[in-house]
Amino acid sequence: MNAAEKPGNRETLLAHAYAIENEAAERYQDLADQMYACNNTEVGDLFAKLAEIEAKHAAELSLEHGAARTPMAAADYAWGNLESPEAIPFGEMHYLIQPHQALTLALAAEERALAFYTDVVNQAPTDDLRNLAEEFVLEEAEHVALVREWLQRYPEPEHDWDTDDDPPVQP
Amino acid sequence: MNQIETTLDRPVTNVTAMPRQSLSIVMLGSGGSGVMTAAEILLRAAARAGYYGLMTKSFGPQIRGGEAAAFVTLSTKPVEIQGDRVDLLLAIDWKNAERFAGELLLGANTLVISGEAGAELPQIVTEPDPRLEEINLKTLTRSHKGTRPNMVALGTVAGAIGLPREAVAALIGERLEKKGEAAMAQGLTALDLGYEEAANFSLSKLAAAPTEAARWIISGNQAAGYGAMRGGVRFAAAYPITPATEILEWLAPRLQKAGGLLVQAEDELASINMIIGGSFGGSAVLTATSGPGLALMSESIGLAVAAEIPMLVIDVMRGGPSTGIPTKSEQSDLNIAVYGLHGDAPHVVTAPNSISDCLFTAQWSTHLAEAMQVPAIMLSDQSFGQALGIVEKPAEQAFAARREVAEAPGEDYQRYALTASGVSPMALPGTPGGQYTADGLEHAESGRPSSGVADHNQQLDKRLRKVVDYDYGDHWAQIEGDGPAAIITWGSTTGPVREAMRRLDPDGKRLRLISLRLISPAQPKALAAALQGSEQILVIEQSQMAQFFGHLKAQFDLPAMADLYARPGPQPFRADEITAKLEEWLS
Amino acid sequence: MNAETACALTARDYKSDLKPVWCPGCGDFSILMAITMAMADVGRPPEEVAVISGIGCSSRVPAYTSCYGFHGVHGRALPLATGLKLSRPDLLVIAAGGDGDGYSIGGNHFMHACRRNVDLTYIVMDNQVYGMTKGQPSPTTPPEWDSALVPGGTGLSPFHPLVIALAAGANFVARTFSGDAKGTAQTIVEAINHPGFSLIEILSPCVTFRPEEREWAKQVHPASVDATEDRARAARRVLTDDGFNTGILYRGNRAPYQPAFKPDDAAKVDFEAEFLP
Repeated sequence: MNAAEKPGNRETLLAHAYAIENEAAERYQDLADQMYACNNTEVGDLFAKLAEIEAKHAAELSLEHGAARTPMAAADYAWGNLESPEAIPFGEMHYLIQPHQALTLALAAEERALAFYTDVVNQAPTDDLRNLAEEFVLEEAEHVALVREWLQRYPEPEHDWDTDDDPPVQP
Repeated sequence: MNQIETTLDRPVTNVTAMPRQSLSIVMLGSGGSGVMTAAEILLRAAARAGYYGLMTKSFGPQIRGGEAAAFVTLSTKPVEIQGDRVDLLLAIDWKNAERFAGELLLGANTLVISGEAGAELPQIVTEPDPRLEEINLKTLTRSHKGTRPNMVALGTVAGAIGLPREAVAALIGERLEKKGEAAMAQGLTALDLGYEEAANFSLSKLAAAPTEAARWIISGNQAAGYGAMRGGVRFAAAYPITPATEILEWLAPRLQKAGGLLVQAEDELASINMIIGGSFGGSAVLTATSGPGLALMSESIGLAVAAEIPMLVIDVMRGGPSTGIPTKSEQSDLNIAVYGLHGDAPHVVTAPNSISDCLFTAQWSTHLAEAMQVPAIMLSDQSFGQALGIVEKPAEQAFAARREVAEAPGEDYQRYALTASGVSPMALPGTPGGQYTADGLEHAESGRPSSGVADHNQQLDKRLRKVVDYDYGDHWAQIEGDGPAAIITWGSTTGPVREAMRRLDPDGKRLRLISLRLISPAQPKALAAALQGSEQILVIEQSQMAQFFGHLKAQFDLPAMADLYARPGPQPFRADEITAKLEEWLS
Repeated sequence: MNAETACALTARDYKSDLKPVWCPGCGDFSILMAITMAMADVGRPPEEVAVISGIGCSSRVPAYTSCYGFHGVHGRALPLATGLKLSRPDLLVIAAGGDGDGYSIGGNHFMHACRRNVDLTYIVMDNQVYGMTKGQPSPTTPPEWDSALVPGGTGLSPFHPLVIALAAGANFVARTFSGDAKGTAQTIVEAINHPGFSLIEILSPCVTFRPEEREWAKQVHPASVDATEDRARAARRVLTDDGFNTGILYRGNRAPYQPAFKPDDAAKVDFEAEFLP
């Protein structure tokens, strides 16, 4: 699968950053909707909150840094056709998922984003780009810390967390 | 005239004395003898000479070379059914003629001309003791190079009934023009040989034709196809099935000429869904089929009811159940057409009452389907579909496909909005802002799936209201006469009933005919009004289980004293059969 | 929609606000995303797109888009889509559904749609099970898979949709995996842009009735070779692969079936001369 190198200038870094945050926001919202549809309100609310944070982040990128909202071609992103780093894959979901599990998935997503920006810092060809990427690293690290903090509040799920005594419904 | 028709079985001493208003002819042959072509030329020539007529066909099951019988009735008055008795039977040969037992209604006054000199005649022919004559087609055609037995037979028949030679000769000329001068000359020689032979036989001639009027030669299937096109149909999809295929084959090239299209589908499940797709896209659409195909389509007709998709489904009925008798008629698909859909699924079921009414009813049904955004099933049958009639040119009708379309759907557009009429403007794909998903799932006004109590009740009501409250005008039935004895019938049974009424009650004072063109939704009030002043009611239909009678009893306020005459096909009703029944019923 | 947004449609513009009934974890969520991404890429406004389906979990997809849609009866999405496309060649018509809908009850239409080669894109979300009726084997289910309806498994060889599509005349054949939404989106774009009938078979795990299909994410791998124009070679490849090869397998060059359709209601359709004797 074709994929571009890590972003090498301000414009492409902003495009990547915008895509990371925007796609994360959309994904969190989609997952929140899925949870609401299954009446898993607690996790739905968590995902909705995360969606809100990511959406705000994406908006800031656009307003404060002038990141373009129009996406580039898939091949111009460092991850090519793969999911952007901060999006939790749809396939990871389960309708009975508990907050601890949801936040574990979210933590992994935030850490992937942090790792992406850290790589950009390490490979940045100019100080300018490095400075911008470091800014993103700091923000992402804050997110990671936030999610970690939330994670402390929720117990790990019991072994029978996915037990449902009723059979699936046949609509 | 009536007296003559009903006294045919009694020996008449001088049969040539009086010209006849109506003559019934059968041409018989096998093994590629060409009787159908000869009979069709006879019919066309009679039409040109100003007569009315009807041609029906009966075949063996073979694809080629089978035994075939062409039944032709010619008359100075409109003809809807074959005569009670055959006046002239000409057989090119007699192979397997027993097949037509029950169809060859011969009598003592029938003139039978055997084209096979010295042949032994089948018992079904000799038993009624008809007048027997012979021509030697083999010798005649051998002695005149290039002449064909069917053309000699045609000349013999045309001559015997007194059809002007010029009309027949002109048609032979037109048919054989492409084959060259020699072929034309040979055809005319054969015709003349026949006319010469005819001079030897004594048969009443046809009375002089009425003054010329605009007449058509048309089959019920052609009329149905043309009616649908006049109604606006431009897209069709179908799977071949006897006896509906002629509708499709007539339509295919003509739709093309009108910029439309007929698609041959892989099966009836596909054809019905293809037209649902076409109608969803905005086209007026049709498919045509027969009982087995209708059964396959019924699930998707239910979809069209739920999703409010207009379409015309023509069922050319044949003997059933199952494969039944594909080449013979029966009125036994009424139940599946009216009651065959799952769920509470209001839709329209119509039925033409004559060959030319196939045109009117198909056009009207298309109009109804489009106006109400509902499937309409038109129940034609084999006896209309595959019969060729000489009819008055049907009147122009103003009915056309008029669908209520959402031209500029606003923010609050709802595809299945609850309206007073029940009909909601339909957004067609391509229209910005009108996007919705048509659904077989019960839905809310927006079209979104809903299993809620209110949505189901409201949508059911809406779909029922739009077809029940619709103003069908006077077209719901054909009503003739206003006598105290009322006959309620439908479809192809109407013709024989009409003829029997003409015989028994030429002034329309004793009898009354009510032939339903709108089978469903039921019009109990209209029927009650039409029955005002009637003292006796008889229902006549061609169905063993009396499906029509059951429908009338269930859906109409049919008086308890209503009588019934019902029997299955494949034998078509004849006027004498109905006449006898009516006499018995009236006495 | 104003002119500005009309010229830059995003995937979101093709999504409706109706929330899917699918189970969280279902592959169909990714496929819905892929479909909307592909539509944004192709750029036809939603009102010029029609999404047609039959019955099943995945057949719910039309109402989840902002396009015109038709959720018809079980197995008949393809003829319905065919009728629409033939009478409305101006529209972009996409048919979508599952393996039961497309390969079992709709099997005959599947073959004939390939053969007819109308310009349609057919998206099959294959989870190798009937989900909506609670877990019965479909034509693509492995023979040993045990279920209440067929205890001990069907013992039957699974149906091979790609080979059948090739044999029946489909003009574009691809296999993708739902977990690869962007790759799937690109394949859908290519399918839409390729004339004639395009089949995209998408492996889409059913996490409820076939939880083991979550493992597909580890099993799929992109095909090591490019698409061919050689039907026989494509068939051989797909018959001998492990069933988890993804990518565009075949690009044909048969002309699509699209007879002229320009009904002119204003033109008087007069065939009366032929009825004169």
